Amino acid sequence: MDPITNYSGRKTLDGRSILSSIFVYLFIFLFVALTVWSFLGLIPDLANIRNGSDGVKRFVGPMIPQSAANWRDDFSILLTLKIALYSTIQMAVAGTVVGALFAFPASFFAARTGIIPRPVSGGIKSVFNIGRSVPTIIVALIVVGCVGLGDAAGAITLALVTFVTLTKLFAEALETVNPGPIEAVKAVGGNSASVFVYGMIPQVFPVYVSTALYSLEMNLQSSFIIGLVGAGGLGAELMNDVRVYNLQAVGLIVFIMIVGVNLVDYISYRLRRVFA
Amino acid sequence: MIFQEFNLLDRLTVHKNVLVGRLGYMTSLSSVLHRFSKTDRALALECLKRVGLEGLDRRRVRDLSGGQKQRVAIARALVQQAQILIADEATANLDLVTKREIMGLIVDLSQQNGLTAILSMHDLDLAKRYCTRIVGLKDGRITFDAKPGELTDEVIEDVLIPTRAQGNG
Repeated sequence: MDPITNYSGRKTLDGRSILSSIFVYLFIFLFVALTVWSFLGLIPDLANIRNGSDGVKRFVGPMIPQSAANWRDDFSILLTLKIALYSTIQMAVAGTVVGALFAFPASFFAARTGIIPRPVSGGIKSVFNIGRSVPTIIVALIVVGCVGLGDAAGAITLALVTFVTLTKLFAEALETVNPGPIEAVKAVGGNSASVFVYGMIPQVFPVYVSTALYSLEMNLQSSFIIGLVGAGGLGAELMNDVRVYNLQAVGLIVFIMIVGVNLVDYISYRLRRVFA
Repeated sequence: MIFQEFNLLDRLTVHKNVLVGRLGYMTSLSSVLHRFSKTDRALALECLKRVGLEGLDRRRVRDLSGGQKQRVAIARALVQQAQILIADEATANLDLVTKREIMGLIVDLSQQNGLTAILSMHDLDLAKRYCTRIVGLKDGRITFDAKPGELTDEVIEDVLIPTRAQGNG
């Protein structure tokens, strides 16, 4: 094949530079090698796992109600789980509200909009990025270690995680704002405060609300997980029940989680459509 | 000042958008709290009437057509009660019919209210049809400043087409 010239003036075979083609093939080779290495590492362990179908019958079976007696038991367990369910919801809501309220002003300092000097806002944003990279469950462990087990630990964990995540997302929304209305506010004689209130906030408000609602959804799921390390709610109940092999309760809790998550997912979706 | 992209707040009402024009006359505190005076509110409605949008004050700007949006923008400019209206490519994003409507509105406003309108545009036909004085720029210099009738086809090539593009077709 005759080489052709691509847009940057280099000779290529199919529009892509030779160097770029080499990189592509190298990458494919490395990826295949990585996959092979991964599977080779797993083979010794694969030989040791037992037959799963037996485990399904013994472990998952009791989770599903099989008889009328099972259903009645499930109902009585349900009533005792009510409290745990409420605390899961309370942790998620309190954590999200506190996190979002603080993230709102914090985002102004982390956004590269020129209101705060660029180096300062860049530095603040980096701090938040570092905070974001800590997995929620680690934060939960640390908070539980500091303040003890229970719902308060859960709420504090979620507030912290929400604060860090939302500040970054809100700041990004501020950065992608359309400069047109801002110019218009300046043109009619508005000062910086007016530029902010009339140029920026009307543009980012829908994003703020929908992001906050989305994080409420995520926090509900997280509050299940952090319960596993003792931060309260249904997750803590679940952990207890697994330890004592009360599989019927485990099945019920998992079912409640599935229903709850889907319900919140749907409500959040509808609310976000209204606001954005 | 009015703009090519209108620069309105789409999510807010027409009335609120026009009121934004009064920000230069308000204290910081009132602006931040969205506290516009009764006179300002009445003035905004009056300006909406003058641009032909009476009754649309409660609509969201995003539900309006391009021509209506530009009228809202003009109302926002009028509410400042200034003597000059600056239009930066105000008709570039509008269809042919609406272009003429907006130009007609600007001409009416300047004749009735003694408003001086300065428009930057690249539509020569529109300029010749509606404006009373045309200033031409080329290569960063003013090359023409006279009545529209004097901007004939022969003159245009010299006066407006940049030197590098001359002789290309």
